[in-house]
Amino acid sequence: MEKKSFSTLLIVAHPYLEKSRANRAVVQAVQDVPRITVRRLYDLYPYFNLDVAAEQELLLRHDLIVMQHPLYWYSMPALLKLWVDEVLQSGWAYGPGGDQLRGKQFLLSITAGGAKQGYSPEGSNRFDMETLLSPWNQTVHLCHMKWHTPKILHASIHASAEQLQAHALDVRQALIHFAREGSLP
Amino acid sequence: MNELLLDIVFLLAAAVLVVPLTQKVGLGSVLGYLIAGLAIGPHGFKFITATESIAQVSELGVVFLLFIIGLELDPKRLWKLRIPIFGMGLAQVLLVCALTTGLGLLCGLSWPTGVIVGLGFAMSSTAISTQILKERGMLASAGGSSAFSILLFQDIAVIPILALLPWLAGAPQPTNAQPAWKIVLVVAFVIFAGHYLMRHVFRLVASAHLREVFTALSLLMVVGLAALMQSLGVSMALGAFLGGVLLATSEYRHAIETDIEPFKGLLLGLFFMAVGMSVDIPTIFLHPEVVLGLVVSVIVLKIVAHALLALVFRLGRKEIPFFSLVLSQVGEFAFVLFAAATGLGLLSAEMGAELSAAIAISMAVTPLLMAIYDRFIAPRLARSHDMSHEVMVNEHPEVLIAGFGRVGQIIGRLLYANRIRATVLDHDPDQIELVRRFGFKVYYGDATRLDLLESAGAGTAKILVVAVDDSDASLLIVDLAQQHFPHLRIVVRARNVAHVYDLMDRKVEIWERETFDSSLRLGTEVLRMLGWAPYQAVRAGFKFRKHNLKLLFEMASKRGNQRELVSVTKQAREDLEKMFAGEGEQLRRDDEGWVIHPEGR
Repeated sequence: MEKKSFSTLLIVAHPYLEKSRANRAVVQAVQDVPRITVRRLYDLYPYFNLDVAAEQELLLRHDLIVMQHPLYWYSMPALLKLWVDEVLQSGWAYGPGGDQLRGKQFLLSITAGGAKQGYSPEGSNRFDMETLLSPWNQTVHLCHMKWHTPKILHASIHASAEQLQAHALDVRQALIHFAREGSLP
Repeated sequence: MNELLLDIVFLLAAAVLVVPLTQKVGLGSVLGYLIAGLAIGPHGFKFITATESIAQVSELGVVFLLFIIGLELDPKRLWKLRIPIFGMGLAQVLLVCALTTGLGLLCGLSWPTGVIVGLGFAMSSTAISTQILKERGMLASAGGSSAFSILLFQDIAVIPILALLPWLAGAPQPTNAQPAWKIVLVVAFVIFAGHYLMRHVFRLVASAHLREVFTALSLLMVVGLAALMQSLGVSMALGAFLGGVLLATSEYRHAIETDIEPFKGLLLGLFFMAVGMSVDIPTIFLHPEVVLGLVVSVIVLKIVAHALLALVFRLGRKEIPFFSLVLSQVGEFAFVLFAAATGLGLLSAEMGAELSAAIAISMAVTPLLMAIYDRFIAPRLARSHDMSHEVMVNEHPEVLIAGFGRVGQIIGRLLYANRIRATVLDHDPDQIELVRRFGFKVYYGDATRLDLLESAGAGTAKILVVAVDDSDASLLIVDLAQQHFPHLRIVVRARNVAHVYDLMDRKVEIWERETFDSSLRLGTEVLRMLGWAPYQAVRAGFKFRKHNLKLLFEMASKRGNQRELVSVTKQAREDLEKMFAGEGEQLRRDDEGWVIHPEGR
């Protein structure tokens, strides 16, 4: 009997992906995950001219939504923010009648330049990651999706090739698990 | 021949001398023409004695006026106004006629005579009233459009009234009018021809690109229609009006209007001078009290009747004074009616002369009444700020587009898609034909003509888009617009860099080089194909644009000195080299300054 498999949509938002090490490593690593669709946002919409209908269509067709991006100024790159603003519409993703994403899974996968210790009340960034990621958290919650513990690569700038690879494989592993089981480990 | 030339000289001289005076004093041009005519006519200084031929030619003035009115009319609007025309119009004629007949009976007139006089008195002057309405831009107000509807009805009513006369006289008399079926046939033919044939004829003539021939065609249309209608015994003016309505939706409307307008102006002036000449002074002085009494009573009667109508048809209190006054004079058709009536024996010759004098004087009084309205009544009304007169039709476009080629079309379509209806002008009839098939309203005309820009609405528009492909024409239009329509914001399609410099000289702020951005887009695609990441390629394009523009402005300020020495092509080559050199340098510098975000953020 053929077991049902689950689909994943991975949206990577990096303005200079070819110059990135960490994000590119993840994108390259997940290429062989079953039923995965990888979308490079800055390649698709270099003029910031989002095709909202197409984006929504893609969301509907996948069970797991993965957002891959570098942490820019404690937030996401601008095009991704535009995506959040325009694609997650009232009456579609949230609000009265906004039920289209209900039940889907959401995984945030980010890379941060700074070391882990910096992200604490005593550290240079004054806030811990959980706090800084609460906008994403609440967004996912309001759209009736299931929020999972984010995958975070710290100290990405100085990370060695091995460290980057290890992180990328970790993400890949999680996605493969989902494709088979429909849940994240 | 000498006689004719002399007459023309006197007419022109009288107009030139008198009209500016009356205009300056605030009495309007109509009164000026009337006085001028009176002065030089057989009852004045006798410079002109043979008034018959002049009167005939001057009738054309009213014909042209009605043609232009028809041209500016929207047939849909006409149909929409069918109730005011046949409701209010009919009521007005009946009411005035009834009141006059009653008054006449009291004065001892027979009732047929009373009815004739009443019907004549009901007529208002299309020429004078419409002139007033147009001058004040009140054709669209409730009062103004009602007045106009009444005038239209009166035009139509003249024909049955003329037919009625012999019956009133009690004996069947041969009239000028042809049998009804013949008239209907001809009118049907005119409508058919106007709708299907004329467009092709105009297009044919327009594609010859000889302006004077186009003008000749326009004149031929108007005068030809008038002649045709006259031969049928139908009002010439109504025929011209019909012709105008038929062409109102044609793309040649503005061009025709522009050509006809000066003729209309002169001929109408001539008409009023002819009226002035016909005022029979000796008769007036024979029984001055009769004529004066007639004038006073008809004006008062009409003002009262109109005020009643305004109340019954609920025009709004603000509209009543103007509406009652603007139609208070007796119109030119009354001349026709009374002449016919005198011929049939319904009116004595003496009475006919007195009535004619009364008509002319009543016409002269209207401008005075309007002046009184302006000085005393209007300010009082304006004080209580009530926007009760709704503007029925927006004839004034916000945007004019000159040139409907590749650039103009994109702009026009963008506006159209966002429900903004621009008025578009183009001078290539084939292009217009092509575009019209896709449902666009394009008017034929040369946008470098000031009068065309004027009639297309440049005076009231907000924005002028200059999208013509010839840079000289473009600059000419910009100059005209800046000079005559300084309120207009100008947006210009720039052919090339030289054109841009000329636009900068004229302080035009918004222009775009017609091929620049599309070329840049293509160049960006080439970068992508060479392996650049899309976003990089796009940003490279943005950078190029920014620096290119900066160089453009720099070179603009420097070019004055060198241009005299170096030939134009050499200069252009140097400019381009400079641009490349400047660009490469800038991009490299920027490249170094750009780096991935440092740690921690």
